[in-house]
Amino acid sequence: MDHSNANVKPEKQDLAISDNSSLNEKKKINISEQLQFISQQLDQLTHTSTNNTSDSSNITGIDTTTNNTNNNSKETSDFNSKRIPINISQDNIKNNKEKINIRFSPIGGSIKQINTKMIIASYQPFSTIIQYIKKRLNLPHVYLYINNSFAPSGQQLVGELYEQFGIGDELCVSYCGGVAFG
Amino acid sequence: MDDIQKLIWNGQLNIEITLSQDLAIANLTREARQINFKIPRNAYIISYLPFILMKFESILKRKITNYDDLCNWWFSAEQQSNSELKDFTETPLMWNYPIGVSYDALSSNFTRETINKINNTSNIINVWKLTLYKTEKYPTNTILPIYTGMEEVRQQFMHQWKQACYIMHGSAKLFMSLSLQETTILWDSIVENDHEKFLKVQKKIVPVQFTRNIPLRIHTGVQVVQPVCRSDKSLKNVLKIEFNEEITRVVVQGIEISTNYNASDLYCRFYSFDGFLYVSIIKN
Repeated sequence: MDHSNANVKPEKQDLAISDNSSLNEKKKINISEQLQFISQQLDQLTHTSTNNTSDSSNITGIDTTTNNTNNNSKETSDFNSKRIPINISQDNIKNNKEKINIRFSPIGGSIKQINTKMIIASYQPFSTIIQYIKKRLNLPHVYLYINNSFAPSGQQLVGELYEQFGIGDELCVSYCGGVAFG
Repeated sequence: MDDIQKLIWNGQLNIEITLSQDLAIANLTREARQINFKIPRNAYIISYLPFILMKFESILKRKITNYDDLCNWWFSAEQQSNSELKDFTETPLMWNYPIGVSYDALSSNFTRETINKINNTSNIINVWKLTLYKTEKYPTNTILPIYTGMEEVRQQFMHQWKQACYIMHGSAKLFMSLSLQETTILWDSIVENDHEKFLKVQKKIVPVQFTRNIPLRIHTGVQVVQPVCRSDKSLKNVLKIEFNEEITRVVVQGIEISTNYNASDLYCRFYSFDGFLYVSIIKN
């Protein structure tokens, strides 16, 4: 809107100079021209803003209905470009609700097999997975290990564990009814 | 470097523990339910529970038959919620972090205002006030439950080292290849607070030159963040990526340090007994 006002001002000056001749008629003509000019400017502005939004949504794959303004779409595209290569902060995980793929594998043949895959929000603590496995196996205690190496504490976030110990696009969790890797 | 490690290892905290009212016999004053002692910064508070319970033996409502049963016992720390109004709230203490780290993160001594005061005055004795509880359930999901006893604490410690080893080397093989005798020495070094024993085993796990990542945990009050920390990065960079803002004042092992140092240099000097480097952000 500021942009359109800046373009209107010089026309007002023209209007003032031409006042010496038939003032009333020219006033009417100039005002109608002025209004036309403003409406054109507004059309152009709205046209460019919608174009920008659709361009950025094509790149980032974000639904245009959720990002109406140019600023919003830019922020989201910046966030997404940052998000992929570097670690995700705790707040970012929460805001983004990113899902983490978990691959389960049993240790030893005696334990019951459950679904091999699970998707969980990255902000969930590891204890959520422990509770889930306990429920599925119907056991009072289970021992879970990351990459067949160590047992994380229940307070650690799944997203952080994936960042540090994830293999490919998943976090490998093995489970056992007793101590496997003491 | 060894001298710094030794000084850090010998660091101690003054602790005042108050037994919760409902656990003590009736009509006892607060002072009568208190004990004071020194505890190494590099220790789990829960491993001192049998000693604490023995001290409280005469005033406990119910006699304790098994001192090694750590189930449902927990500590809470006084935390200043409002510095202007001098308001204090109680925060459950997570036993699975070294007590020194919890002190740095939760104690009101590490706010900007008080740290400046302490730096400018001498002859101050800091005492951290804790309260001991036993309830049917743990207060929040933040405290790790203990079902058995000290063996669970030992396992937690070992898995912390495995995790740290995985971060440093890309696998936990180095730690898992330690002999039974060596792992026993490592745990004994914590129980006996013996730095020489600890160094014997630790030298086999911690590399001289870091090429991969640093086991780092950042405390912001109660919350703990474990970011990916490349060994060539400065602490400043790591904090900036993690919190999206410039953080300049942090405490490591009770000492305020500059964030400009390289993460690997800090690790070599200040890492905790469980293989992680703990950094606490100084509160406003």
